[in-house]
Amino acid sequence: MVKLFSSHKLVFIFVFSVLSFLAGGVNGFLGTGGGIIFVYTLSLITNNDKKDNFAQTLCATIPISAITLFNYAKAEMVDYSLMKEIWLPCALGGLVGAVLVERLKLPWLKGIFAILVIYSGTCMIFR
Amino acid sequence: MKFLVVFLISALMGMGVGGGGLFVIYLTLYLCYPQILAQGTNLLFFIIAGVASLFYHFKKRHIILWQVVLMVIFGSGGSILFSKLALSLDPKYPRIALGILLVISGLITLFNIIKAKRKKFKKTLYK
Repeated sequence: MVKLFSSHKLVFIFVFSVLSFLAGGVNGFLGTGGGIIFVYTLSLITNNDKKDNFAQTLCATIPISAITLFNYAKAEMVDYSLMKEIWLPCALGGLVGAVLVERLKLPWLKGIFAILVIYSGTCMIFR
Repeated sequence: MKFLVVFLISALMGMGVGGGGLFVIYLTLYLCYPQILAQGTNLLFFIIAGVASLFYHFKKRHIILWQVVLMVIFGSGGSILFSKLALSLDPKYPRIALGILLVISGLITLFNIIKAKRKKFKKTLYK
């Protein structure tokens, strides 16, 4: 795949920054989804390995989500009581998923996830 | 049941299959949370699951720090601006926008899976 702007550092930084701003915007507006844009940005304009892109996206979206969370929390739009109940399976699941992705290849899982997400997205649009 | 669902969603997130969107879907469509509350709660969910999976990814993956710094700086700007917008608008707009994003991302995932399968099939044909 041809990597755009690889020899023009300033243009690269500009495009990278604009796409990062958009990804942060999606994260702020929807409470999710910034990671998808970051991963596509990184795979489109850098030569990084795919799995490195995911880890890098995670590194970036955690602080961005924390900043977005601050705004939502100020508006009292966070259910802390639910998170008090489920923080443990949440943390365990994240860790288990990170370990499993290195050991398992489950292409069918992405397919099932894609169908589920299309169906749910459609429900959200027409609800 | 909630424990299992949350564990599975955060495991998917840790694997990079996607999870933030799924948790918002679970909160809005199954637990009937208002849209903005679901988005805010999802941010906290993502941070907990993300930090847990990051411990593992950080050890195994190569992360380019200057790219992460750029992503965080510009992503934060976008997230502050657009989160204020989301909090001031009618919740139906973020809901519809999220639905559209989920449908597009699901279709792209399906398209990539079909493309990969066709490539593999052609390879075995010409062997």
